[in-house]
Amino acid sequence: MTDSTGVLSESVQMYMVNILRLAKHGQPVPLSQLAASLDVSPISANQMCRKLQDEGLVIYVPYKGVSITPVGEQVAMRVLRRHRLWEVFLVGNLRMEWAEAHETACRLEHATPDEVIERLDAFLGHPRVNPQGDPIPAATGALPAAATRTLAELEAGQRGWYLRCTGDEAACSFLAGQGLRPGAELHVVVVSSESLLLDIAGQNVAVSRAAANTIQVEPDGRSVDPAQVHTQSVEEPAPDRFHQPQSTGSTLSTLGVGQSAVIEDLHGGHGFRSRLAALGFTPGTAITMVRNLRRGPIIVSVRDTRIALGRQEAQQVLIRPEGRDHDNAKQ
Amino acid sequence: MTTPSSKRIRVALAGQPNVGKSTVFNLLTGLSQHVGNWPGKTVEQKSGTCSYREWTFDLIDLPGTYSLSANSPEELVSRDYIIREKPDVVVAVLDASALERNLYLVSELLPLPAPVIVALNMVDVAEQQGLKIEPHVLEAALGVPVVPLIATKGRGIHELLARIQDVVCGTVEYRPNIPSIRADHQSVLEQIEALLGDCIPADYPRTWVALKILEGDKQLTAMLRECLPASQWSQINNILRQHEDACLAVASGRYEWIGRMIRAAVFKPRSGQITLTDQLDRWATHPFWGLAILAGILGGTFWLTYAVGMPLQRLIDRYIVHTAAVLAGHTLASTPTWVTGLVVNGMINGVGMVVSFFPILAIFFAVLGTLEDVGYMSRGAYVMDRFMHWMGLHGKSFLPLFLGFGCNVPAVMGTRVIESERARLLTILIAPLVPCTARMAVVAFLAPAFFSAPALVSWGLLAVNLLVLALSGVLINKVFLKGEHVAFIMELPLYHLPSPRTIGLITGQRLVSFLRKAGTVILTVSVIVWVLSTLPHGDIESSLLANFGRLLEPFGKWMGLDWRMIVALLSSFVAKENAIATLGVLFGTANQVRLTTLLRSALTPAAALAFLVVQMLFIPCVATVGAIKQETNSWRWAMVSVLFLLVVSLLGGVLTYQVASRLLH
Repeated sequence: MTDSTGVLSESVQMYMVNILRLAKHGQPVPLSQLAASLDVSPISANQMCRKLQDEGLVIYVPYKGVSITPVGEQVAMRVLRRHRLWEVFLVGNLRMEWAEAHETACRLEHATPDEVIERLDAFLGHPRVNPQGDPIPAATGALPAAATRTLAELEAGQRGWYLRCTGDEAACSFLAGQGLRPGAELHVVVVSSESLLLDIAGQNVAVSRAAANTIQVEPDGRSVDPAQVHTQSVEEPAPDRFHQPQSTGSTLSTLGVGQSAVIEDLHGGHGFRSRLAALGFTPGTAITMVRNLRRGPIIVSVRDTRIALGRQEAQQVLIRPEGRDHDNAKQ
Repeated sequence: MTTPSSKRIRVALAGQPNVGKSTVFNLLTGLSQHVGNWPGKTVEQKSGTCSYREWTFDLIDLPGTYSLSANSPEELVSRDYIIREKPDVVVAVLDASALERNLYLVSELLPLPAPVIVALNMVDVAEQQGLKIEPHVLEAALGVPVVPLIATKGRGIHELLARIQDVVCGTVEYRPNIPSIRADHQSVLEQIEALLGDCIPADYPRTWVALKILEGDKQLTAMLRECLPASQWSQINNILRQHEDACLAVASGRYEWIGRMIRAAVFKPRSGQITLTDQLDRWATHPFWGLAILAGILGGTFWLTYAVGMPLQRLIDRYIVHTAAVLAGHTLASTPTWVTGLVVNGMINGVGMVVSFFPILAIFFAVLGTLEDVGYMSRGAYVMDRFMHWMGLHGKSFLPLFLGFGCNVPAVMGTRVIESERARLLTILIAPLVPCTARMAVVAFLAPAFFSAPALVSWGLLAVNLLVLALSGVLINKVFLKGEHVAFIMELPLYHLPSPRTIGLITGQRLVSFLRKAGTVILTVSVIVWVLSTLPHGDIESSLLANFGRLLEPFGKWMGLDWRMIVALLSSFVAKENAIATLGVLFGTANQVRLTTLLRSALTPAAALAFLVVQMLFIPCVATVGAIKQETNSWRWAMVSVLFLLVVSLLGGVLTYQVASRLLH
């Protein structure tokens, strides 16, 4: 019954994946939270969890919640592998929005035979993370013992790429607001016993050691650049939202006041790029910085117009020094 | 091109934001404007008429947009109107001093079926900057009529109308130079065009649809996916995937075309001097001075509003409202007492209270209109961006919130400038916490009655409101409306001298909508309050209203408020300024001085403070709730807003009373 995902009913699979997803730090998942995530009543969640316990997939402690057994984890990992590989395909190759891809993957994951999923894996070039930066379990059910570390393990001066946040949601959404999104580059500036000072694209952010323990990063070195995971594994250029500026290209946010440069490329979502392009931010255009305080929004002058841009928006505009490769970069 | 039979010409006005399009529109239509919404959209639609020679022009003001992609409802509205409604002429208003960016919209308008006339506005500003543009060369280059204009001085308007007639009558040659796509994408475009088959909706130009598909236009792409057979669609999809960056290529192509126009028509380029705008912005967008200037402008606005508005208000109250009440009393002397009571106490006092603080609102709206027209407001938004981020919003949300100091209704409507749904909803939810002039008027009336330092109390209450607003914003953002980052992209227009006409029209429109509210809702309710306070025995103490208020008195006890204050609070749901009018009715006097004395004997200072805190934070007025429902398109959010503020205000009141009664003893 438990040795092949094909035999398990779809709802069992959904339960297992959600328990795995919601489990943090090995704590049991409260039943109410599980029920909400599956959009079912707590009563039916209760019944199902007892049934799953009988099958040896979970351990259910009333009033505390459910935790997953090693066997259950194996089952969930297989479904998760299917889900995340489909996500890579749907987002990368079919250019779907992530939310849409996630929903579609939820349906495909139950209908995909092992053989097909291995072919899909090969077709995609064995990606290691999904478009959100979550790791894709191996066919054995094991999560890749990737070069992921927690942020707290990095040393001062070391560079890395943010992968994901496993802490509580308030902390995670705060970090997202600070520009820390999957694939974002970060530098550790100073490390103390209490906290770490990070440089995220020119902005300094202090992170407590406790929070740093919940943040997974890929340290610089032999590890795979997360931006490349997407562009290489998928033959098409991956959808724009994962086009994070590379460390080598300078972004508009680093341009000093009074300095001029030439726009090289735009990153970010389609709507964002199209809006900027209409305002005259096209590759090859000269751009002058009017105000840049190293934090907060900037003001630039493009085609005789002053435009205010949020710092995160400015980080999506790649520039090169004036006068080089003039006007021919894209042609 | 069709020649209209009845000598009526339908003209659509298009243009990017901040190019003086509304000035042109106001100049043409004057007071004949009709302001409404586009069907099914929360996008403002302005229309109006004007006559020239024996012709009538029906003008429609399209929303200001930078392009015609499907990125915003405004852009969709504009292009759908041009394609489906087929105006006789589209007038593209351009800012001559930023011609390059402005011609982008023209490059999008030209491929559409309606003939285009270019109104080259702000030629005076361009000249000041050392730019020399030759309109007739631009005309030859574009292949469409170009009319130079200085809308702020009314120059060039007649020429514009004459050229519109010429085009409609076909007396001038109309041969537009339509921009072509960059050479490296030409064959791709042709491939897509060939694959489109019969799926082009009527009236849509084929090449244009193909171009939009290549650009990644969401609306048209979805439409085609529905219509095309799967095999053809997958071919198109393949092409699109190989040309992911086509949206940049198409935009670059348009700008290359624009570059050629500019090189032809701009006789002398900009001299590179530091403009006045640069000089002013050095201060206005400075991280410290910018904030100081914003605070100064805010403070100055309030000072002007109340210092000039309050004496005027007293004059109106003393002479007009009082005289009306006395006159009505004399005229109705022979009628039964209840008629006199209804007219004098119910109607004249209720509406009089509203009309009397009309000057305050007029001054505030005029000052704000001036700031908008001068071009300062976007600087304020820029400076405030840092702080708005705490609430998960960005600078643009500051604009509607600022408007809320005048009246919350335009604030809720003003959230339309915010692109993201989530940020818009959040701004709508916190907007009623901005104390409007109506609430400040209540404070201005009551604070001097109870406190020796009324100014301090008023500023304190204002600060409390803003603090609660910020905390609510952070709370709602962190707990309920978590969401994605919203892109902050905003143009900082050039400063220019304010145009009294534009300011007058904006102020007038806002005041008229306010008066309409005062004339209907508030009149009705002050009559209802009077009736409820009279029935069944003719005196207040035993009236229905009193009984209802007494029913709620146990809750009021926690805030030190008796039933009359509770009824006053309830009536402020109709309109904030009603609180005073109701107190007037309940305490049986229309005389403000006497009312103050009566209130002082009825309330302890702690209770008065609690009352002020509650009424400042209280549920939004009916008109605001209506606006919230209209803008969010859901009763649910309107109810959420009411419940949220009910809880916040009552908590605030109880807390204030309990703390203040201990401190003040």
